[in-house]
Amino acid sequence: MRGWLNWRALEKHNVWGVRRKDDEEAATWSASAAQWEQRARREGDAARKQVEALTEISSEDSVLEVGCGTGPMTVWLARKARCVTAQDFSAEMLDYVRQKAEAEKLDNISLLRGNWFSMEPDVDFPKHDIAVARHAPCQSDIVKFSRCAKKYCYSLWNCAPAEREAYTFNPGIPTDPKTSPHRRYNEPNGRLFGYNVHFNILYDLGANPTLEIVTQERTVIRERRDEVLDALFGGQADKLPEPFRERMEANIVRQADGSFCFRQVTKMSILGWDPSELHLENLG
Amino acid sequence: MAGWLNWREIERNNDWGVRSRSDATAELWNDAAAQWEQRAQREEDFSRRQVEALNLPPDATVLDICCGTGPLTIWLAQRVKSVTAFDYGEAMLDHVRRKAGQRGLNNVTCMQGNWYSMEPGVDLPQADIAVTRHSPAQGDILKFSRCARKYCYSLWNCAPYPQPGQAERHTGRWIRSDNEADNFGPRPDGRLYGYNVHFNLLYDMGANPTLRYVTDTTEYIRDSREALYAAVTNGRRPEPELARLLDKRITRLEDGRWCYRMVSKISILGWDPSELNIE
Repeated sequence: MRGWLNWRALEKHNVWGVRRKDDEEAATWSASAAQWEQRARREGDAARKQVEALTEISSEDSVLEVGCGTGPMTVWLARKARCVTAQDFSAEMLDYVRQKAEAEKLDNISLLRGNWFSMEPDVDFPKHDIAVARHAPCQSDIVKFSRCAKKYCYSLWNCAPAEREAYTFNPGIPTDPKTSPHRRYNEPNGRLFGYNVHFNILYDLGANPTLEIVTQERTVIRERRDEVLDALFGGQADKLPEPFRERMEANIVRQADGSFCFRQVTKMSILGWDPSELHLENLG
Repeated sequence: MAGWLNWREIERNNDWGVRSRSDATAELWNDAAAQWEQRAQREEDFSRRQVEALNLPPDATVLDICCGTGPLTIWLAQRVKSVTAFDYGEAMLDHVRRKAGQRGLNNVTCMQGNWYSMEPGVDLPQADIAVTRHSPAQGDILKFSRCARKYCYSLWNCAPYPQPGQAERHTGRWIRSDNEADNFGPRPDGRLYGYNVHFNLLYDMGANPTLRYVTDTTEYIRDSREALYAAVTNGRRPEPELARLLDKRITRLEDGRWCYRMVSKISILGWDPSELNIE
């Protein structure tokens, strides 16, 4: 692969690359399906706006959603495409997808359960017209993900949480078993190992990827400071990891009238590419 | 600047970074104003679609940096409050004035100067939006970023030639020196030194750039292969490497004539200059 760096080697150290690939690891996600569903509801209309930005999807297309979780995007994809296959390891997550499909009377969603890392595109499941992933384990290997689609691929990646500076200079979240027992990995610097790595892999392989940014704003105002985080995290603020909680609290601003305000701007990058542009023989 | 590489240093070696900055070299561009205008006319619809792909508020002021004969200027002016068309070449700017007049566009102002000796916000007035396509400003994307208060667009050719493993170091005449004899030779690898350098540079400085593409297809049909080469390369004999590349895409039609279908693609990189942590 010709390019300035071996971005494929760097990808192995991104936030998905450093995680374990086995079923036991996948099951830890499954155990928190209820929290993920809460998070999906907190998002407001973010998923709708993101799916709106996937302009290559037409009503003729079949879509594979890899690592769909509880399906915040699935229902919107199903309204836009001919049909959607929602893949996830977790039966609990897929149950939420099934419930949503039934509630919305969408009969074009099929579920595919399995561990992404032990599945091979075009072998264990057919290629679809379009492949979509947002915040998913398949983002540890964007070339394998590219093999899922015939026409177009979309990879959605968070590029700005609450405050830009803290993120840009995020040195990575270290794992300390005493303070964060639920974290088992050192999280890499979100900016160095961000969507730039995927852009460069795809560019070096011959694609000309598109990039769009979808911004979501949310403002919470409460009388007391502690009420703000509770409102944001559904009364679970005391369970947040300490560094994350500190960062969130630093952004609560006291207003002139004495109330407390939290303004959250999140940005989602949407990388899109035609997998047939990739010269995979250059992988080397 | 925290990042994987020093993209600023790489940028100094891109197609624009390696060129001479003298007025005499800039004058060589101006000498060919008539040919550039011919090309602008051929690509009029392609240029229109490029401007269509930009987000332009109707009340915006736009700076068109190194506008040439104004292929983008005339379309920009129809969509925004006003456009300042900046270029070194007086002959180029004459075409801009003529075309604006023909179209009844009275919101275009021409400004002459050498990009390299001017400073945005000092002797080059800032605008809401800065646009540049295929220009010396692409030798220093941070200086270009200082031209705009709200948004920047850099348009960069990414097809036909720059593909991995295909004619990366294409040879030809390119204006980099006021000594014309120096203006033939291999250019920087179009893919390694492409718009990826600007994407990475801006990303590392804190921006989240958008990327879009506009594609155009032109069919050349001639009676012989040689005539087809000449048509595609503006009468020059193609280097063997380029000829091999062209041959892959040349087909013989049923009536015996030869056809080359050229797909041109231009990348449009967009960013908010206020996102850059210049310090």
